[in-house]
Amino acid sequence: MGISREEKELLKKQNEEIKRQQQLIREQYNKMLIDEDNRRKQPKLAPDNVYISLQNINKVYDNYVQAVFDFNLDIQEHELIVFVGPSGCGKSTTLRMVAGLEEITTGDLYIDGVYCNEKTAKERDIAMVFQNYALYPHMTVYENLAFGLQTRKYSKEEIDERVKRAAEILQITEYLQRRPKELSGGQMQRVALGRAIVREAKVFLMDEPLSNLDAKLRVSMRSEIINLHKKINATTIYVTHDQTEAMTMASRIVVMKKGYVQQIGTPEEVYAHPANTFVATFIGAPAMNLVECDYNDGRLIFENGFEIALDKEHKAAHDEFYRQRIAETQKLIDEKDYEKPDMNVLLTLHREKFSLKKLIAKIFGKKQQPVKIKTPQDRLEELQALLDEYKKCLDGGHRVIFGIRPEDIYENTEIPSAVRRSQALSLNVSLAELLGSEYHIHMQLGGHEIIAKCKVTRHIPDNSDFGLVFDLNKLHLFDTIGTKAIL
Amino acid sequence: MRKLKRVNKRVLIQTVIITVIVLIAALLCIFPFYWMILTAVKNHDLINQGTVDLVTFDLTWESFKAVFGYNGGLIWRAYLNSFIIAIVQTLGTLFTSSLAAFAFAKIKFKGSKPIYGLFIATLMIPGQVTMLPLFMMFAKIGWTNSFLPLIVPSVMINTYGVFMLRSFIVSIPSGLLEASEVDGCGWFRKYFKIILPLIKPALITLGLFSFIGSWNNYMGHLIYLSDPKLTTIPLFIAGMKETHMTGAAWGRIMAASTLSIVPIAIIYLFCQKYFVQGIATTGMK
Amino acid sequence: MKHIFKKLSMLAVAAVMCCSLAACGKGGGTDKDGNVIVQMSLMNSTNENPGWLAMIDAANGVLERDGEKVRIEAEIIMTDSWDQYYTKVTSNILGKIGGTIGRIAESHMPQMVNKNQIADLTEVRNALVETGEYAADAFEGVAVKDGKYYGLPSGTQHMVLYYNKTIFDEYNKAHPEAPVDYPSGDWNNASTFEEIRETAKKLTSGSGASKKFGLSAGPYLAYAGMYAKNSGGDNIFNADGECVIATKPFYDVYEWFEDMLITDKSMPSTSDTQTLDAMARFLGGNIAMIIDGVWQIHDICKYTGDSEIGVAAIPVAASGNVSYSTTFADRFWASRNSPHLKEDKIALKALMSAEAITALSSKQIGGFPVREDCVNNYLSSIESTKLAGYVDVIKGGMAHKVSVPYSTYYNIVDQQINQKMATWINGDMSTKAFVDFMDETMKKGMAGKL
Repeated sequence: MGISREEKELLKKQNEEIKRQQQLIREQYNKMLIDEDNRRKQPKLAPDNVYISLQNINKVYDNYVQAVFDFNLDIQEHELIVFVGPSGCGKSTTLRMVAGLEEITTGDLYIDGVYCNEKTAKERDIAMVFQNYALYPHMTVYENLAFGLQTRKYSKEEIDERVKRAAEILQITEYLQRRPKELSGGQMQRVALGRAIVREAKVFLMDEPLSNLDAKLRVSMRSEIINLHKKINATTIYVTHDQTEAMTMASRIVVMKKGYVQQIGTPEEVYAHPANTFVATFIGAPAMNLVECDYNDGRLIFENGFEIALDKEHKAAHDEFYRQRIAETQKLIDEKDYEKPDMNVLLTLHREKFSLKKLIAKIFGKKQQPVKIKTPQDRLEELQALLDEYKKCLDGGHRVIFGIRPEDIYENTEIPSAVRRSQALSLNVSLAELLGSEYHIHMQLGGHEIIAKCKVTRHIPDNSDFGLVFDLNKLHLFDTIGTKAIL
Repeated sequence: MRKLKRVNKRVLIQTVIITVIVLIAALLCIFPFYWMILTAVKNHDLINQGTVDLVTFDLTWESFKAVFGYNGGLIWRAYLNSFIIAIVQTLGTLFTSSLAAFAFAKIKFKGSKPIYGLFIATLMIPGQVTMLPLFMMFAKIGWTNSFLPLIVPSVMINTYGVFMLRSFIVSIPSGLLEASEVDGCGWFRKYFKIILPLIKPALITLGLFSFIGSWNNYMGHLIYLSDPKLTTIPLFIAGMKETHMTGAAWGRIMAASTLSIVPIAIIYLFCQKYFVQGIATTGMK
Repeated sequence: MKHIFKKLSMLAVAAVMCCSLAACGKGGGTDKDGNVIVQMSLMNSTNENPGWLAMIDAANGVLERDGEKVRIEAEIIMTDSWDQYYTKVTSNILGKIGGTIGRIAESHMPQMVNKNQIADLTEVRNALVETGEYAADAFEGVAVKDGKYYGLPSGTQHMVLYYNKTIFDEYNKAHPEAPVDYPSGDWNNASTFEEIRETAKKLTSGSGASKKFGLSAGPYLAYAGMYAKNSGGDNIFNADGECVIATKPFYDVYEWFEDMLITDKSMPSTSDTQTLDAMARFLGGNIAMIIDGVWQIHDICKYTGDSEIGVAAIPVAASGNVSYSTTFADRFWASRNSPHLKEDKIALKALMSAEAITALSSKQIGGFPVREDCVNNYLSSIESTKLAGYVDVIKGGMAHKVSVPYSTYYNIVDQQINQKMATWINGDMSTKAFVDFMDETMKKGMAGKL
């Protein structure tokens, strides 16, 4: 009732399209599994000079949801790699795939030269620390520590020696005869770490071990883990959602978002040269300031009229960036990438499952929400529009995102010599937060809020004017279309 | 100071009232057992009087002697047989039920939900419906007049046990199993070292139910056991009760009943300790 | 992993051992002399076992003497009611295990016949009756269907009125001005309902748990026929097969009960008998008179201590009425599924031999034997008991017999009536309404509506 004929036609067409794409996805999935099986039968050669190698790792669940997309990483021995990202980005899933607790859908995993996809967790010789410790409640601390060794049939003396040694390192010797429920959070965490240490395993995997602790304990445990790593020097993969932990602990950071790797690099690299806006705002606190502005032939023009002139290198980098984008997009069009099914279809596959609500709605003839889905024709048009966008960016003026970290904004009075000054700018202070030794100054620039970090030299009242300069050595530009970094 | 006194007094009265109520309830529960034991040691004439003496000192061991002497000490044979059946059945059922419950609760295999649903559906079938077909089946394969039909079906599948244990196992955090996986445990090691210790209270409860059910299973024993050598406690007591009940038999029957619950009472006393211990140990945070 | 399998295999071995221990002891088949073993199902009873076992021994002697390759073995079934016993027998027959012949109460015979569980024994009956040594009418009754005989009588037991003479004597000593007479032992001139009512009232004393009652005569359907006939009525069904419960004789009988149960309270009610049954009270000397069967003779002799016991005839409505006694004739049966039916029939014939019946009746078990020449044997065995002086009274009860009209629906009708009985006894239902209910239920049962 109440649905016009045109709407019905539209609905019908959409449903057909959905079905076709669902079928495509199913076929793709099955094909992927078969290919993977065939691939696995071939002999594997581990890459040398790399301790842990993850090559093209994908994780797709039975309900066609993909959690990890094309994860590639080479880890050297004794490194402490940190996977960091917001919840649901696939970092834990990747860790569990390395551990052997999850099946690797496609891709290869090598640990210490051994192809490990088919190996059980025991055979991989890894040790894991869980977020909620997972201590065996019916065993004492001693037995908890000894359990893994007993399973591997070590002698009693060996077990005793190792357990005592690990207990000493972690200072839990006096708790050895207690049960987990008699321990505090921090002690339990140490026991969980101890379980990993006694094993003297090749790889340590830690899944957000500090998330359940209070802030102060977290800080102290963080340094303990770092010291532990220095002492034991095991290859460690550490998963966290806290960027501070990532920055302080990692030898290298892997930033992930929604299953995709955003950037891999050392803390310095990730901090100083973020690959896209996500990494830029994720790493560093307070986050990098992002302001939209116009770019025209080497000049950045802000909405309040403020201008920054870019030097020749920057301009060249900018042009190069867009040329690459154009080439990429053209390649996608040429390779008919638009015929791939729309990932939104996955959502419909979920909704397809029997639901009582839907049935009732159908019976009562309520209007069904049409699912927005893109046909290949739509996608082709999208890609072509994208191509045109990029061409426009290359040729004429376009919007860009200007990024600058708070500490790279200086007051227009005392400026260190290393700073390459931009032109001065005066903005109104909306809020000046005093943090003791420094100020966080909130201001508005072109409709965006920016924060500047300044040393305390004088009292800065709210609503006063603040003269500032940007450090042009440290500026970042991001593309509005794909949010990637131009520089 | 005055307020403290008043509060204490109120708490005291409350405690007293609650204690009295609980005491009355306890007495109501214990009284049948007390009466049974009393009748078992009463003098025969007194029993036939039919008076309700709560306490009497006119006691005799005659009834117990009669029970032990009945059919030349048949009661020991009955005990032995009852024990064998009950213990083998209980241990077997605990083992298979916990294995199945573990599989249903923690192992993801295709069709686990439908199969489990089927299991639970069979719980709705009353025992009387299956009793006759089972008997015919066992008669055909010649298992009558033996303990097998009383032990094997329960050991093979005990749906109630699987249901109860599965609920218990589901509450064990999967993190424990993952940690044990990393520690290198295979499925059986996980079962023996981690699951079994953690479900001790449920196991003991199930074991007790199973044991008592088997111990008191008069109908099953009646139709499957014919040989007097295979007599069990329920059959023994029924045989003692006889038809045309005469007064003299009551003392004997009470004595036999008392003797029949003695093993269960002992087991229960022991299990109580483990039961409480079990809950205290796991105390999952 | 290895030592888990060790544990498992040990458990399995233990289980197998227990099972093999249990599986041995399969009876039946043939013994080492080549005799076919016929197992006989008997209900367990400390009193009666010696009688039946003696009968089996004697029958085995007869079989050996006659050169038959058949021997009988007893299968004593440990149950406490005929219903449970019947369940066991049913499962035995169904599963072709256990006893292939046996004895069962008359009440369950119709079911066995109707459910095709038992074999046709007409040829055995004919062979026995032709000898002329057996009372032909003993074979008639519930075990006959379509002219075929499915059961052989194991003896007839009837009802009498037992009374505790000591209680009577004590009362008479205390009330010399108005003594009570002993109930009459003359079946042609029995005590009337009125007399018994008065006697019962006088002999009732005390209250509560230590109350002594004057009479116990359970107003059950099985005995109703006897009382009705004693009132000049029919035994539930008239000559045309119609149910005549809702007629004057029955009303009279149940009004007599009402007088005693509800008005005088000289009879124990259902709640009283639940705490301690009537026979137990009688044995304890707490009931003066009880109407019960001759199967109680053994216990009455053994457990009444020093009290003297007398036997009298069943009361009648008016003096001059003949006194009838309800009889119960249990039956021997043979399983239809037996693998050796021929041998079963030979065994049954041996059980009906003079030697076997003599052995049985000598122990006062089984009631009046079906062979005339063994009747005196039975009666003389009573001569050596406390009731020696009342052998004639007991014998007299067999002169006017009334049997219970058992049928396939009888047990259900009985059950339903018993359930309503408490309502009537509590006074929540009038006697007439109760008797009408009995009539209605019986008619429903006949029509198959239960």
